[in-house]
Amino acid sequence: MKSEIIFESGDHKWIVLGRDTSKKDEVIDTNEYIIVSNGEAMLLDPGGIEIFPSVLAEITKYVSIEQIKVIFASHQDPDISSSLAMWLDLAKHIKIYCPWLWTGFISHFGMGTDFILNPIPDEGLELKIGDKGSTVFLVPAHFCHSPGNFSVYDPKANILFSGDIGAALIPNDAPLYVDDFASHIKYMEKFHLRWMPSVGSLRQWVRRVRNINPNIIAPQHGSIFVGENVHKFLDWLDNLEVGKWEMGAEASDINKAVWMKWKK
Amino acid sequence: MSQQLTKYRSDISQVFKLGVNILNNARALKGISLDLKLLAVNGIVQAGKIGSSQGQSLITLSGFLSDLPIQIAPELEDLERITTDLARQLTVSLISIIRFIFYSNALSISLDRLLIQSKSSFRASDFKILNIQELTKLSKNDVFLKTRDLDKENIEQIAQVNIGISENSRLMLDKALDLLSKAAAKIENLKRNGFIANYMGSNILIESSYLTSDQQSFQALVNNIRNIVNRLDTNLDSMINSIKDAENILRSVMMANQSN
Repeated sequence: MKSEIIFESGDHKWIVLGRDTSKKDEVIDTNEYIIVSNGEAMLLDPGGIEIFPSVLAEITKYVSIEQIKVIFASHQDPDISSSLAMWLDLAKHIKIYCPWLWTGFISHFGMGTDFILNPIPDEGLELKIGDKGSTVFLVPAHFCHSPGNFSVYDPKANILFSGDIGAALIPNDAPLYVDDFASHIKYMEKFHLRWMPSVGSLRQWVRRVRNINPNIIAPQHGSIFVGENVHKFLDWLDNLEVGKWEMGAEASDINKAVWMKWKK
Repeated sequence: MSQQLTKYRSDISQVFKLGVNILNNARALKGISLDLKLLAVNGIVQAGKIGSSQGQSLITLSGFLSDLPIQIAPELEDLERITTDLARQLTVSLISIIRFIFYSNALSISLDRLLIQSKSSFRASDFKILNIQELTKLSKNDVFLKTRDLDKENIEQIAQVNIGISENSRLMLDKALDLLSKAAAKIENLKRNGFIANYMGSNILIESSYLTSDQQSFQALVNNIRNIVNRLDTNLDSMINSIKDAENILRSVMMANQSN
């Protein structure tokens, strides 16, 4: 697994982890982020159970386990939340925040541990990293794609962690930062068309993010948007017609045959 | 994942599969008990048709035979309860041990990184990271003398968590071993009942050999009894074998965690 500092100013930094070449091919690649602020750390979308050993081993390069005070899970997907119990078992002082909508579901990943989840209300939350760290904002991103979903905005670094928004299924050797937006679209388009169910919610999120005006948008999969590419990305999202799915004639015929079989 | 972790994981999965096999075999025994009961009733009906003193002795023998399933019913219920508890206990242990394996894997990756960084000739595979004694002194090992405090602190914390899980897992696996030996004792009782059923069958065969007619029906009845007892024995032997295998693997897993 690789890791890199993507922002550093004084006692405040962001580290991205990802491009795990040791994982099984069928496990989707994910980015995990750590914010270290005044010696206290927050882990964003810590990744699934399969990559937990690699993530933990990589994180320990930068912070002690004791320094991790907060873990944020943007939504319920297993590539985000299936490792949560392992983190909590490792350091019981860690506070895990996830959308209130999903607390009952994510609790199924408890693995027999004492598993306490702090619910994030629909309207979002201001969250301090530990006692000494700075404050970040949990920004609503519902229905983009999950019905209970949040982004994280860190005003000190002017970085927005966008979760699955901006996610791209990129090749292993793709750059960490998007360099050519136009050629990056092909890695994002199908993902967004399939996973984002609501045009209205997506437009609202874009409007919210334009107001925030971050310098970096950091997604959970794929490459990171910086500077001008942030605006290009938001413009692209503003014109994307998501939430539509039509079967081709061929697929429709196949399904018809299956339905007829079920009817029997 | 290192070789020692892969083996540890595969051993535990194997025990889990054996536990499920034992439970399935125990459940299948209920059907065998019912078959035996039906055969005994069939014997009583056939003996009743004979109507002589010979018929009376066959009714008595078949009556004994029909009592057997009633006698073994509580044993079967106990066995099913024990094997259900065993499957549950193994599942809970498995979840705990999977956590242990994930932490061990993280530890192994971290150790390899630190050892490579310090240009040491040692690798994570040179440490018995599954072993509690080794975990206790791991961060104090001489090869980590020049390692940053941050890294030593993190190794120490992961090791401590794994010591806790390992001690807890040992208690769970002890319970599983206890259930395995209880299941084995029940199986021995059931095997004795199978032997008695066969013995009754032989007596029925002897008694029926004096009959001037209906010999063939009783011959068929006894053959059926023997078939059922054979099925019972096959199931019980398979369970005994699974229990022995599970006990051996569990002891070796526990040894890996505890031995010096």
